[in-house]
Amino acid sequence: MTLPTTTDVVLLHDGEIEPEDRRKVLEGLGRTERRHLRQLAALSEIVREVTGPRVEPPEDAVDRIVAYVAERRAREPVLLVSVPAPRGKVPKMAARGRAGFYAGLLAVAAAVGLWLGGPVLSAPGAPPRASALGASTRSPPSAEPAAIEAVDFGSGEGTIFVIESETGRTPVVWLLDGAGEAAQAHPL
Amino acid sequence: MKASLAAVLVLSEMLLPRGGFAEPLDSARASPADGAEAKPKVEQHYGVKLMVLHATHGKKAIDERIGSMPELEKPPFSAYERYELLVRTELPLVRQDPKPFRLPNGRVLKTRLLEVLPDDYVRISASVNQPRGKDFLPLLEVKARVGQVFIVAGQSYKKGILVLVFRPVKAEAGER
Repeated sequence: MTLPTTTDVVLLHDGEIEPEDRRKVLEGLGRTERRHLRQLAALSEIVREVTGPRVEPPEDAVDRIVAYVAERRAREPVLLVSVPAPRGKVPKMAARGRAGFYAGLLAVAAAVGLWLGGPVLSAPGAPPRASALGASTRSPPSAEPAAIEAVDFGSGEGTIFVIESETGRTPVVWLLDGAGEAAQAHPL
Repeated sequence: MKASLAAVLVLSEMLLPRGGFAEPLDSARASPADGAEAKPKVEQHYGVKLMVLHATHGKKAIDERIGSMPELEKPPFSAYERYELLVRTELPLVRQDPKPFRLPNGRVLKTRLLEVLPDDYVRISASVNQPRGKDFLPLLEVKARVGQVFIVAGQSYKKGILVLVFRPVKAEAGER
């Protein structure tokens, strides 16, 4: 059985794959491909809900998506994103092809993931954070949570997520340091 | 769906530069006194309190010196049953030439103050590198208020991982 490529996953997500090929791709999906497919679906859903069925995104798409994520984040569990070592700006669209679409999407996942830990999470309606644990040492509960604003995993990989507890939201950068530890980074 | 993907790609172009991957460390922006009235003030010094924890598997035991950290009870940290405090120290936050801190696994941690923000917020960077080796975590930029915790975890170490717990602190001149 041939393992599905990134392009296969994108085509599967887009519904642009022949039924016979679809079956083969589905059978060949591993854990990573399934996770990527879920991320692809989740982000596409967000884009659809925010921008509507348009060919071109509206000018305020970013603001609308950020507001949407903040609102949705306030009522749903932590969004976990996996970041495949982004370095610098994403290459231009024309040069990357369908597989590049996928990389771009994961890059957006990374960006949205970063924002999830940021001030947008303190949007009206967000659950109030409980009193700080070790209150003498932690920040007042009224403060906006710490935010990871940029990260470069170099030649490795890592994951960014937020842990919610009675003390508030704690941003975490989890480095994948060898295959043996990689499995620990995907708890959700 | 194509429209969705197109939107996503456009957004990736718009969002990623905001993340600051390529943003230079502009010393001009880092001056807390910009635009401020000429008034006597006490210079603030900032630092980062760092705890280096060793997470391993085995019989459940969390070093009481760590203090209360509910994060360790939640995934993925809860996948490890044992947490031992290896190091507790305070690293000064400076804008230039930060002093490197050697982690138990031999890698080098550097923290740097990028910007002092209102309301006790600071923007800081951290990096973890392997001496004479390839970059491991070349850049991490975090905006946090004094007292807020952020965590960098996952480095392999002695059948477990290292968990670095950062908490920015400040001290007035004369206290340090």
